[in-house]
Amino acid sequence: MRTTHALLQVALALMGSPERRHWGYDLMKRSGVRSGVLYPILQRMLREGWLRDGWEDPAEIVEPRPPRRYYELTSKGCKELGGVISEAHTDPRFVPLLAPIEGIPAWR
Amino acid sequence: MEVGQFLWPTVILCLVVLGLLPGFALRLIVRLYPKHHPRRSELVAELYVVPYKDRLLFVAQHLELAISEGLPARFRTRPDVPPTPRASVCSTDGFRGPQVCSIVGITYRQLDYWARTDLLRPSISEARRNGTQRRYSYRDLLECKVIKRLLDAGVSLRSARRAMEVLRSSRAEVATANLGSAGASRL
Repeated sequence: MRTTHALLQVALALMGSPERRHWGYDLMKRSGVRSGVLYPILQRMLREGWLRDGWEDPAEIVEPRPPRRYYELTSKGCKELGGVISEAHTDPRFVPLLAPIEGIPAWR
Repeated sequence: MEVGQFLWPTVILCLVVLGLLPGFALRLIVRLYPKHHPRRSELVAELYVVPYKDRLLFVAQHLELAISEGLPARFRTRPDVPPTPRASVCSTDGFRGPQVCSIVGITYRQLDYWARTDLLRPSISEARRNGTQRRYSYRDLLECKVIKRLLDAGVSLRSARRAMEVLRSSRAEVATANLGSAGASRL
């Protein structure tokens, strides 16, 4: 997968909390990537085995709404996306994107 | 007749439909995806957690997504699944979804929902992307029949889910469970 701004933004959003489940709208908000770009990226990550998906258990939903689909990082995904982010640090294109998270030491 | 005359009413109508009836607009939009595409239910479910003020933008963005992702998916050819002749119901590679439905007597919508919510996953093959089919084993078929019996007997889906978990973990014989559930209508 070629590293683009959008991919890096999604990677940062996912790796911000690698353990938990991620939701479509939430990812759109946190990564700042619009859905027309975000969902195809998620689809590719699913195909590569970087993510796995699933549906909420309807028995656990309190509000009256249908079950939502979630995405989780696989261990392979963590490694690959970690690689994407650390490589991006050496790329001058992504300097403005990575500047705000300078404080987080894990990706240096 | 002037074109401009229709411009503003059209713009206002679009804003009203997208802004005031986002659920309705989104349900129309996801119909651009082929039938049983996971995105159809995924996007609609996601709308429920979007704050009201953002829904207009959300729906507009998903129109773009549906056009760029849904329409191509609809017209993509399906090269990797050879058509199975209808006669060979009990082929070596299991049962397809519609076959399971007609044998057990449930709707495809139910079967699809059960598969997506892990109540009954096809054990031979999952539907990975468009065009690939779920394949159910004979055991799946029996389990499906048990679920159907339970639901017919008035058991809630949640209880049926628990019952299936117990059944699977106890490794009990499904065929016997089938007989048992037929008698126990007050389960």
